[in-house]
This record gives sequence, C-alpha cells and structure tokens, in this order.
Amino acid sequence: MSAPIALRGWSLWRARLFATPLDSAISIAVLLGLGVILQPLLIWAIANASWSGSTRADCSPGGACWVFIKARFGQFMYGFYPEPERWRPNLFGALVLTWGLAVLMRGTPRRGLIALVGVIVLPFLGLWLLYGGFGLREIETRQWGGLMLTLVLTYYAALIALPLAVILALGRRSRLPFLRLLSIIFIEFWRGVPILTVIFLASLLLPLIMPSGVGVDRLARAIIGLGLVIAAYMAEAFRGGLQAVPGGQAEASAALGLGHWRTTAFIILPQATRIALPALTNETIALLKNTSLVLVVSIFDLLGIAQAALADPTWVGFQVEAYVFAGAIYWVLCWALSALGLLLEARMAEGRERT
Amino acid sequence: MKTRVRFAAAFVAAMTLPAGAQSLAPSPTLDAVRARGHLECGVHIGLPGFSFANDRGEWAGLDVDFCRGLAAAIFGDPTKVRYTPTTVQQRWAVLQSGQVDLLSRNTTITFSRNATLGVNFVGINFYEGQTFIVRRAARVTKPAELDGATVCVAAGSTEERQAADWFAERNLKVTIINFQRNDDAISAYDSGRCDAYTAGVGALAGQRAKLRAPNDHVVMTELISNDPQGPVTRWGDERWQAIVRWTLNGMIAAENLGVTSANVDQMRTTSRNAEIRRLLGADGNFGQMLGLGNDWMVNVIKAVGNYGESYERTVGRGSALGLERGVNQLWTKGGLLFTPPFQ
Amino acid sequence: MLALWRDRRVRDILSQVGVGLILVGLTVWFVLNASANLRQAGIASGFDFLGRTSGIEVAFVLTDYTARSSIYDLLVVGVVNTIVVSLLSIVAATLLGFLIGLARLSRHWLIATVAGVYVEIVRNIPLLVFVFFMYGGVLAALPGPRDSFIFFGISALNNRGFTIPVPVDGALMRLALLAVTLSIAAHVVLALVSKKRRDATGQGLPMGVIGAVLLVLFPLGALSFATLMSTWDIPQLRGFNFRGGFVLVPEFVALFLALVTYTAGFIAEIVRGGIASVPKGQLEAARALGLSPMTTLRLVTVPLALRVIVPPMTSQYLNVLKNSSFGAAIAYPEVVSLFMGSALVATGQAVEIIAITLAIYLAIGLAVSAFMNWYNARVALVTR
Repeated sequence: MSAPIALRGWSLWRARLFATPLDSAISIAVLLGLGVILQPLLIWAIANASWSGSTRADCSPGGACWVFIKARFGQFMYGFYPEPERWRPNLFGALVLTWGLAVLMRGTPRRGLIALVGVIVLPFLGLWLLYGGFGLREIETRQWGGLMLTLVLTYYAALIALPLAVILALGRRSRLPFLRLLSIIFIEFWRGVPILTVIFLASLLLPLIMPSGVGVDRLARAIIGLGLVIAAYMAEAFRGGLQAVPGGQAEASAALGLGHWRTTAFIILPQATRIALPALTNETIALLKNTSLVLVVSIFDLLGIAQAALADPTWVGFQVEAYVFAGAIYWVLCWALSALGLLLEARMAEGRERT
Repeated sequence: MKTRVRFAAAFVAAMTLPAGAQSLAPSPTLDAVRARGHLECGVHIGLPGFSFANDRGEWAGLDVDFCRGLAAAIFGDPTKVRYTPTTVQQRWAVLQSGQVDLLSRNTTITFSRNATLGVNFVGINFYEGQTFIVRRAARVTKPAELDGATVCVAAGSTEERQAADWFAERNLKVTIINFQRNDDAISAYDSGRCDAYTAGVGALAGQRAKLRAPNDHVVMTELISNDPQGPVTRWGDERWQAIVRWTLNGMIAAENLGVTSANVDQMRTTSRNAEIRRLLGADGNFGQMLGLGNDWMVNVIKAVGNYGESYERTVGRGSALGLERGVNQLWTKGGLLFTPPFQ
Repeated sequence: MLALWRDRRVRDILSQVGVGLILVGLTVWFVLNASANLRQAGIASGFDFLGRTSGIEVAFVLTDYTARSSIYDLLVVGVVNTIVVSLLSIVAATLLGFLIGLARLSRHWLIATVAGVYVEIVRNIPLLVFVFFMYGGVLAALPGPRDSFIFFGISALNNRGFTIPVPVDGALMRLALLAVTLSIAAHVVLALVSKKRRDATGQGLPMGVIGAVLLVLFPLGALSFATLMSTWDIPQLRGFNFRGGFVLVPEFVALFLALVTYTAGFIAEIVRGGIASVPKGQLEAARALGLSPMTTLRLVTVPLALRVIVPPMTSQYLNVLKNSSFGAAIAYPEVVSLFMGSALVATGQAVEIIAITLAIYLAIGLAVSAFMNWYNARVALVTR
C-alpha cells in the first residue's frame, strides 16, 4: 500500500470539509447546527458559570453553579464516609491501581504471581480497609456513598460475576443435559428481567428467604443482585468465546495427554477469554452504568448522592449541574474501562503473534 | 455464630438483671438489641423536622428523637442507635424481615396495615392531617377548589389513596401523578408538573424548604383527613411493644407532669408526686417490669427531653419548621395527646 | 467404588444427581424459611389481592381503568403502558440508530465525526442519568397550561402533557381502526401471494392498484367516516388545565426520548458493524452491473448487512423492553411503578407481586425473541 499523502494544517481541513461544493454546503450546515446547540451550552457551562464561593448566593443566574459541586464534593466522592477515615478508600483505590499497573507493565518481575495474589488478596484487603474492624474503626456500609460506592459496587459485583459466568458458560456447553438445562434456565432468567426489578427482588426477597435473625447487609444484597444478572450476561460473552475456539485445540491438547479439566483451564479458557474480551468489557461498562439503579433502594451511589444533595434546602434547584457532573464522571469511568479493554486486547493479541 | 451471640447475650442479661426479672415474658427483639449493642431504627429517608440527615450524615428530627430516646431507655446512651433510611415502599419489608427493631418514620396508622402487614402501631407521636401546597399565584385556598388540577403525590403513601377517595367522593376531576419517592414528587411540583403537592401538614412544613422559592407557595389550612402517626413494631413480641409504647407514653407523661431535661435529676430525688416518682424510678421498679433499668425514663428525658421539648426543638417554634402545637398539644391544654397513667 | 467413579457414564449421572440434590435442597430451604418468616410476620399470602379494589388513580390509562377497578386491572394498565412505550421507542430508536450508523460511515469527515462523538457520549453514560435529565428538560421546556402551544385550536401542548381530542364514544373509531389493520394485513398477505406467483410464473398480482385501495383509499375512507360520525371531546382550558380529550403525559415523552436517544447509540454501532461486514467485492460487483448507489444500498448492502444486524438487534429490542422499567423513576405508570410500587405497598404481598412482574417480563421477552428469530430466519434465507 502506498503511504497516504500527509496533509497538514489548512489543506487537511480543506480536504476534510470543503473538498466539493456539496461537501462544503454540508459542512457549513453541520457547523451552524453545532453552533446553535453548543453555544448556549458553553455559555451556561463556562462563560456565565460561577466557580468560586461557598453558598448559593455566590451563584449568578443564567450560568452553571459549580460552587454547588465544590461545596458538596466530599460527599459526591465518599458519601457520608467520615472525613478522618477517607484515607482508607483512597489507599484501597491506590492499591488496586498500583496492582493493575504492575500487572500491565512489561518489566514487572513475577507478573503472574502478582496478578494471582492481587486477585485473591485485594478483595479481602478492601473489605477490611473500607469496613474496618481488626484495629480500624468500623464504618457501616450505610455511611458509604458517592463515587466510592459506585466503584465498590462495580468491583465486587464483577468479582462475583466473572467466576460464576465461566461456570455458567461451561455449563451451557456441557455434555451433561441436566447441567446444560440448569445453566440455560439460569442465564435466560436473569437476562430476561430488568435489572431494576432484580435490585428490588434482592432488597425485598433476600431477607425473606433467609432464616429469621440472619441479616444480609443492604449493600451486599445490591451487590449480589447485580452480580447475578451480570454473570448471566458475561456467561453469554464467554460462550461466544468458547464457541470460537477451534475444536482442534481441544483435540491437540487431549493428544498431548492433558485431561478434560486441564485442557479447559489452560488451553480453552485463555483463548476463549481473549476472544470474549470486547464483549466482557462491554458488560463491565454496562455493570458500571447499572449500579446507578441502586438509588431506588435508597443506597446513595454517585447519582443517588447527587439527588440527595438536591433535597438539601440550601442547594435546591441545581438539578442540571448535578446530572451533568455525575454524567461526566460516569463517562470518564466508562471511557477508561473501554480503553483498558482495548489495551488488554492488544496485549493478548501480541501474545498470540509470538506463538 | 448468630445463635451463640444470642445465647451469650441472654446469659449476660440474665446475670445482670436483678431478681424478679425472671418472670418476664421473653422478648427476642430486646435480646437482639442488647446483643448487638445498638438499636436499629427505620426512619424516613429525608423529611426535615422528622428525620433528616445533615451533610455530615447526622440524623435529627422528631422521629429520630424517639429512636434516640428509646436507645437511652435501653442502654442509657442515646447514641447507641443506627438509622436505616427507608422509602415509602421499603418500610414494611425492612420491618417485617427484622432488619430494624422498629419504624419511627411518620407512618400513618391504618386498619389494613395493622390487619394484613403483621405490624403493630404502639402509639401516636404526631397527629398529622393531609392537605395541599399550591402556588400563591393560583389563588386557591381550599382543597375543594382544586377541580381540574394535577396533584403530585408519593406512591404507596396513605395520601395517595386518601386524595383519590376524597376527590372521587366530591365528584371532582383531579389528575394524580404518583412518584416513587417524596423528593421526586416535590421537585416535579416545583418544576411545574403539578398544580399541587399533597402530604401531611407537618411534612409539608418541612418539605416546603425544598422548593426553589418557598415563599411563592402556600400550605392550605383545611385538612382532608386525620392521620395519626407513630412508631411501628412487628407482631410477635409483646414485651418489646410495651417498651416502645411506654417510652412514648413516658415522654408525654413527663411533659404533663412538668418533668424536663433540666429538672429531671432534681425531680427524681425531691418530687413528692407519686406518679413522677414511679415514672422516674424512685418508686415501684417500673423499669424492671419491662426488663429495663429503673432509671430508663430519666435517661430518655435527659437525652431528648419530654415530648414538648422534643417537639419544639425539631418541628416547633425552636426549629426551621415553626409549627404550632395545635392538636399535638396535651389533652389538658386543648390538644389530643393523651397518656394512660403510670400506675 | 473407585472403579465405578472412573466409569464416565456413572460419573456423569452421579454428578448431575448431586447438583440436582443441592439445588432442590437449597430451594426447599429457601421456601421453608420464607413461609416461616411470612407466618411469623403475619403477612397474608395468596393471589386474592388481585381482585381487591385498587383505589389508585393513574394519569396515563389506555384501558377503561378507574380507581374503582381491581388491582388486576391496575396490572393490565401497567403492562399495556410498558408495551406501548417499548414498541414506540423500538421503532424510533431503530430509525435514528440506522441514520446515525450510516452517518458514521459517511465519506464526509464532519458528519462521521459528529455521529461518532454522539455514539461515544451516549454509550458511556447511564440510562438513568438520561431519564432524569430528559424529564427535567421536558418539564423546563414546556410552558404552563395558560401559555400552552395550541395546535389548530383542538390540541394543546404544555407541561401537563399533549392534550388531543378523542371521540366521546370510542366504539366506532375502534371499529374503523380494526378495519384499517385488517386491510393492511390483507395487503401484506396479497403481497406475499403476489411474490410467490411472480417467482413461479413471472406474473404477479397488480400490486400498485391493490396497494392504492388497501393502504390508502380504504383506510382514508374508514377513518374519515368514523371521524365525521363521532362526537369529539375537544380539550378546553377551564380552571387549572385543559379538560377533556386524551393527555399524552410528559413522563411518557421523557422516557420515550431517553430510551430512543440512548438505544440509538447502540443500534448505530450494530448497523455500522453490519454494513462494514458487507464484502467489498459485492459492492464492486453491483457497480460493475451498473446498479445505482441507491439500488445497491437497497438490494445488496442492506440485505447482506441485515444478516449480521438482526441477532444483536434482538437483544437491543429486549433491552428497550427491560429498560422501560426506568420509567418508575419519573412516575411513568408502567408495570414496575404501578405493580411493584403502588400495588406492593397497598397489599404488602411482596413475593406474589415480584413473581408476577418477573413472569410478565419473561413472557413478553420470549414473544419478542420468537418474533425476531422468525424474522432472522427469513433474512438468513435471502442469502440462498
């Protein structure tokens, strides 16, 4: 292939926007349309916006009141998590990030070991850091909230969902008819009902089917509900991956003398995961977005705390600011997740080229 | 694990309670509260004056005060209580499944709730009455003038059905929009979706603050119903019911007898009034009869004051709501609040 | 014993029996706990509550429900409202999604970029944010009843909704609509017959004439007859708001807009993927045969792309159905908000109500899947 002619500056834009008269007309129409939509938005969000101050009196009408976000920032991030203890979620977040970076970096020694230890240890470490006990002050889950809670919900629900999804996907392709039927029923049931009803279900029915006196934490209920649904969706992603692994792989592995379980664990699953990765990333993003539904059972995640802040008499009437801010944070998180997905895909493809 | 904790608690309770307590009826709820070390109270998710968490997550209000008082009655410490904010829909499930020991969340006492939901209403801590808040500019003053209006209401509340019944009975055509949460209904009313928002007078006084321009709205004075509200417990634990009921009665009795948080210690030692002496545990071991300490009411009154003090601080003249006592005045002063004698 | 375990068939049966026993055990344990808890709590059970009077006013009703109807009728209202908003959103989202999907593939840089930005924004923000935002936006954009936008003097748009005239007695109109539906169905059947005959003999039915009669003349006649013969209830401003007529509530509009803008982002990606999957050789062959760009799109690109598009589209349609439950957050009276909300609180019978609601979603979902599978089979056949 010949290298494309490198266009720069004005000539690039001319080629993009004004190549033909028709193109020019379209470009001008679209630009005008964008201007009509974006101009008032920018004026509201930036030009006329109020940034400094601490009360609603500091906000000028006609522009966004970012003061509101600033005043409530701590709550948007941590909910009612006590201020002197906020280093704990921060530390946990930093640990997970460091671990993730270490696993992704090529130069890290003993990457496999670090990855494994992190997968097993971090969730428990996180529980201890966030909830407390064993020397740390106990902080009940009802005090958790905001962005921190959104991330906690996503992290732990995904942690429940991934292994369950693998089991379900294998079950759905099992040669044992009863297990296959069970997996199909489980998957199709959870995929067939709205997540909102599942969250209601978990919040109303879980306490009922437990022996009296055994309580399940509110947050744990929401996590279980979300985890079950996402597991069903992820199972379908894994199934797609499993189906795409060529049959010869299993045969070759059997010929090498590997048993059924070892073939599945070391030959089939890694390849299936690589193929399923884009779909899995999408499901994780869906999970992150759906955590916002917990606000219907009065758990204050990022969106919930934004709404709760609106009920505060001192900050009534800043709906738009609250939703724009929450929406922007969700967008950044989802974007980061999909970028991570792409990175992982590239990594796994590299591994494939080597072999 | 759980049962072992409960055994241990029962054991500790048995050892620490003085003789005479052995004849008490069992109270699994009280045992569980003691074992846990705190009271679990179901409250409204955010109703200024009744139960509202400030931006540090500290709860306050008339209903919250009752939870604190009850914690003081049991533990001698009003801070040993944790709050579960509940929506209109969740409240019954939360109580029925044992996640909370009681609901103290401006819940109206009705027949069908008592009969079909497995719950007890143990007393009345606020006589609420349903009315409407409308825009001043609409120039309506009576509910009957709302013909043709659109009304926002919280789904599943008594107000939802009462409003429907009230307008249907008078052959008035009113559109009712049912929101899942109070705050959504209020903000929809504020953005012009409805001509009126309906709730109790007390609730409206607090929720009015959630409007962008509170002074552009008026609360109608005519009520379309009487909605007595009070704490709710589960069926099947009569002693727990008695504890909750008499803690509430004690707060009302204290006001009637002139016992306040300021003079309670002095009253206990110096009062010659027989009922005060029994109430404050100077005579008659009343606390022990319920399985509590004899100074239970002293702790309650020290923690939250008598009913009147609590009322004035949370919803009355000492608060942002500024409600008059009205029907929530003692029966001796023309109100409806009444308490059976401590005898 | 160990030898027995080594036998694969025995092992298969044993492991399945084991899983089965564990599941049965768990289920029995859950049910026992639940019934013990319910008994202890003194909560009523059974389905008698469906016959009780609901007493709940609903603002958006397409059946003849009133507050005096039963809770069962309330459930029907919820189901109908769920289906109506889902169907309309599916149609609109498909159209918008196709447009945006095509725009992303546009040769024009700006159009492709704007479409790409739209998709990236929409797909990374929770639907719930959309729903709240749209609701706030719709309410803020519309005026109060006194400053309504009036259309032709008979319908009004304000923040109470869009009020349109309805016939006082709907029977005639319903009859006319039924007749129109039947004539459209007849047209579809005749078109299929015609195609079959043309494939066999080369000579089809005169579809132009048939179409003009069945799709245009007859429906127009029937509808205008019904319109003229009915007495109309025309909305009029009295007191607080317009009286009479039928009101399309803002909650419906907000939920519809949120579902459409959100789902369109996903459909656009599916459409783009589908069209990108059409082999270049096919298009070159079409051009070599002298087909115009529009004909190529209609006869080559779309049929080929549909094979890739239809299966993921099915799950998007099911998502719309499930996502219509988000209406509960803004008081759109669909099945979750009416039944799992109002009716659940009125009766307290959580187990029964949740079971019914889930069963309804599963049933509608199965119906949609069945229809889409049928359609998929049809599209797949086109490949020959």
